[in-house]
Amino acid sequence: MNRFHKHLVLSLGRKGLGEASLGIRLATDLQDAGDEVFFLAHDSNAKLFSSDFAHQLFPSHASPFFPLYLSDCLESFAADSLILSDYFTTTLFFESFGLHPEVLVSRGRPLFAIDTWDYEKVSDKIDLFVSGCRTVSLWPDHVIPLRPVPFLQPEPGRGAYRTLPVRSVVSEQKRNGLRRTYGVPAGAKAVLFCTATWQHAEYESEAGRRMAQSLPRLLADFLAAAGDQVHLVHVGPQAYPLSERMAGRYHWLPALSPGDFDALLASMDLLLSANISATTITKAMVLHVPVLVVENSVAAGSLEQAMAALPHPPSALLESWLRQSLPLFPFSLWPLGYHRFLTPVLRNNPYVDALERVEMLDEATMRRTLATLLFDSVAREEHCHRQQIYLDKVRSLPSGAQCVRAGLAN
Amino acid sequence: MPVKSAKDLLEKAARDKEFAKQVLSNPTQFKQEYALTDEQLKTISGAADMLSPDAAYE
Repeated sequence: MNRFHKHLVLSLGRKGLGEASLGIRLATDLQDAGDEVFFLAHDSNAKLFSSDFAHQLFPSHASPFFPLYLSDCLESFAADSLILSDYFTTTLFFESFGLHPEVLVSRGRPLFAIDTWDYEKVSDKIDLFVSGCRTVSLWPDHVIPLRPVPFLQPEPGRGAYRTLPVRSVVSEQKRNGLRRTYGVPAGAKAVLFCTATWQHAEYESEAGRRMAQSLPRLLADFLAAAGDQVHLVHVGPQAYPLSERMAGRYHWLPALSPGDFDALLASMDLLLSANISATTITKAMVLHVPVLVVENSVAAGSLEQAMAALPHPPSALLESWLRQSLPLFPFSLWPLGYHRFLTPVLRNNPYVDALERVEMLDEATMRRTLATLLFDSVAREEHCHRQQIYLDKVRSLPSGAQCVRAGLAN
Repeated sequence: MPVKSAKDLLEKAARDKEFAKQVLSNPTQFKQEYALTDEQLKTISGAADMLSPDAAYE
């Protein structure tokens, strides 16, 4: 007989919504399977919680009381399992507040962890900025990993589970209305770029701070060169000073509720991202919106080194941008880095076949790809077809609820 | 006077940053008012001792 379970999900990330979004998708899956879910979350994730989930939020200043919040939740909600959403942000939170994993382990419940990075494959050392390195404290003896696909490899049997957002249907009329509301006129092309709080943070690394400010300028230059009907819609905590660069075709919006964001994304012609692991990418795929990911593999301390790494001589604009943006460091998650760290999970991963990846300094490829994805309907269809093939592969995986139940049965 | 509990303390700490600071700087002072157990008091004292600068790389 099928027994229903109760799960307490911990969403302790404080500077981005991606990890908590994965928790919400898993919780939806568990609820659909008949289980009960309660969230204990940092209040930076408040926007994601609707009446669908019982939850308790706590702010940063009350974070040192986390063990007591946990006890309080478990007293009123007799959870059969704890689920970390996700593994990495939980370990960061614990490190920040000097907490030991025993705070969780001592509760005597199975401890599931959404392992966004697949720690069995990647190193515990994350490359940051020019030469920084962060060693992650992991708890392999304590957690049962749940590996979300996308963006990890679809490998059944290793805790890989499908985590696809629900496709919201947006009518042509609503789509056009939304585009007008956000300042995109009829017939124009709208490119969406999203940023999270951590992409605006004042990092100690000067190179990191410079790259955080300068990449949006470069992207705006590329988009402006793609044609005067191309508009940049930016959703993020702060606007960038790009209006002049984009000749009034830059439109900034603060973070939106999940429903409003999905409707906006469905109304766009292209998603441009500088974070290859962004959960927004999957949303775009489900909504048949083409995805272009910008990365950088070049490390350069001087203009000469940067020029030597370019596939073609730079335009005057790129050269001028380079002078203001050095030193360059490789990144897959702008502006942090994570380039070396993520290489093992991206290798032979069908996820990358369902999007376009372009090197930041490869002007010719960037221009060609933008033109193709925005204006060539055949190429757009072919791109969306590749997305579909990938999504079909993902749909063949077990659900998150099936993986959690298998873990509870062992 | 109704007895307050650790739950009340947590709710107030979430609402009031100054109160949270006061509790962390001298938890014993709040033991009686919020009927804190020795274990709860130990947890709060431990948290106050271990506070470190917020990790930035999230």
